[in-house]
Amino acid sequence: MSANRALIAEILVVLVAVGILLRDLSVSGLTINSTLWPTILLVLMGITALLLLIPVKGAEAGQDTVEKASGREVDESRRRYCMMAIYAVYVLALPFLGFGLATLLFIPVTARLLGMPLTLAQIAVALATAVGVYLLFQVVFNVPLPAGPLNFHIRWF
Amino acid sequence: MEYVSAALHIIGDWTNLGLLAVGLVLGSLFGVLPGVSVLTAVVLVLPLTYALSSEGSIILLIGIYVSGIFAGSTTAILFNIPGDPQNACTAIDGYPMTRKGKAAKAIGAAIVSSAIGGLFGCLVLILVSRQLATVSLAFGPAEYFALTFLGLSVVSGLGVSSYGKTVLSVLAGLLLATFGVSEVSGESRFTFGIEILNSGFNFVPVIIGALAMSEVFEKAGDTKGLTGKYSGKAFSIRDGLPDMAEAKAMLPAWARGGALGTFIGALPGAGATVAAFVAYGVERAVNVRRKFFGRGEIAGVAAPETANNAAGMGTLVPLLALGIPGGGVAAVMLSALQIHGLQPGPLMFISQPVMVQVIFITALIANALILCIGPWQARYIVRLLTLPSYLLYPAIAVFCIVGAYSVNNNIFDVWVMLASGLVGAYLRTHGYSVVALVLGMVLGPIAEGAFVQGMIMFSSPLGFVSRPLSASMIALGVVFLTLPLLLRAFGSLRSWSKGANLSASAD
Repeated sequence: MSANRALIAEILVVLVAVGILLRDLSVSGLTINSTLWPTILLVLMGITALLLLIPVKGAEAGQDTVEKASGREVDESRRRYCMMAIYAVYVLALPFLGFGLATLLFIPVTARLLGMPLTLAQIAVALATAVGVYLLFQVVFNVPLPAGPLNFHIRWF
Repeated sequence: MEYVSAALHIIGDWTNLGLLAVGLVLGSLFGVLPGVSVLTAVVLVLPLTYALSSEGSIILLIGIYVSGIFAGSTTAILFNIPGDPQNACTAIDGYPMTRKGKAAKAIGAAIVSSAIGGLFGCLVLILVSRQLATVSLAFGPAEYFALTFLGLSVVSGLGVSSYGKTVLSVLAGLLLATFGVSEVSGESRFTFGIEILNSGFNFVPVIIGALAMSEVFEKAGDTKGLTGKYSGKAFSIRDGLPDMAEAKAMLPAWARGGALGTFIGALPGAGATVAAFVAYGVERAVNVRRKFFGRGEIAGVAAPETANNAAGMGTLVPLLALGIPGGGVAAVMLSALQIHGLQPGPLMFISQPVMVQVIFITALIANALILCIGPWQARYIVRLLTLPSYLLYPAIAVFCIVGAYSVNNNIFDVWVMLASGLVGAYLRTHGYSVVALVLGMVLGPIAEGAFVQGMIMFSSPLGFVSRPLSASMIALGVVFLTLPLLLRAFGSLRSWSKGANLSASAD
């Protein structure tokens, strides 16, 4: 029965909200300005969020229970946060170091973190990716990439 | 017939055939990478058309356009990185298919569906372009708003775990689209005094972040990646071509996607992205295998791919029939024709009948050639799946970052992309729909513009249901929107009455 009551409550909230919204929008002299649309969206978001707070089924209440993380999961989470931090540093470095230099540093670090053995291959991969992306975007597509203060651009033609 | 034969003679010329081939290759190259769109490609080659004949110019542009619309589906399917926004929907079911080791099947479905959608759109363009253009012109603010409402309503079925969370995701997407200077009054909204926010959030970095970067973040903890999910053998069209059972499963998606795509494409300002999302949403709501959508269902690849290619051809309807470009690429095509002293419109069918036939036949050939270009392109890209994750994911991250940067050539978009990646990863793990959020962002400006115009026209929201077409679309939207609630209510009532009967019989 509690599920039915919650459902009736949901339907009533929606009907009342839609009724108020329609009445307000129909008032003569309503100002149609840049705030009208975002206001409607925010009201609807508020209603939806409220409805989400009403538990309908007992099963759903237990959905967000936090499971105890195993040691392996903790390692994976750490690696994820580490990667996110590296991406952020890379994007911060792009305007200062330029695309070429920043990418040359970024690729070996991330590849190492993802388990690539430390070899010369890392540098080769970094070089190939940086040069490949540079050629594709800067030369073929004529899309300027961040040059950095060193103006790390190669003149191809 | 003499015009058709003259047009075939022009297209059969070696120079023009070469231009078509160059166009197809360029389109597939530009379309496959995030951040550089088909529009960028046609804009970049526009200066070259000065040196070409009028027929050569249009053949080159159509080649780029047709293959560009399809090309982004390959990376969407293989890496969850849509090359163009119109391929974002393809990733929803295409990428799970790759994770199940069915990459070739997904790409095969995308290739065949794109060709079918494009050819369907071409046939509509040839047969009923004038009539369709007249209908599209009858679309006023009420109909545009009703169409966006319908599109957003059908997406309410996209949520895997929660209907309410999907609706909330759509609303959040619509709200994000309001950031920046309002088109209605020119006032800044939600900019918090930050100048760069005046232009709002571009949805391309959001799509790249929410779909691809969130996947990279997620995979950062899993060193296995996709390695081993694909055998690594060369992609063959034989592996991917749908068999009879699959073709039968995709047939309704092709029919609905083709019809919806062409119609939405013919509406000025709507375009292939809207068409793909609406077609996917409709398919997800009505397909007999809708329960499997989002988990690697082949019809989920077929519907958006059919729709976006059909919409690509639909965009040419108002251009050719009325001289009004329906989208960015059509506007460039209009410029290319005007450079050569041609003016598209109703008179073009009389004054330049051969040129009209050249456009029709080139579009038909280019769409049919997707069946050749697609496997050629996929053959090389699919090999990347055999790379170990420590090589693949850093490279994907670099492409995401460069792709987001190249939208407006600023770092702000890269930050937006990274933030969307984090938000996307959070939303995904908590049962919200990333795709619904993106759709809200895509449809937001159209919905707001139409809503405000409609409110000015009618002074009441009831005006939106005063016109038959808009009223029917809104009614259909309400059905889609309330269907999950009604089904739940029906289920609850049934279980309640069952319980009551049981207790009565026990008494």
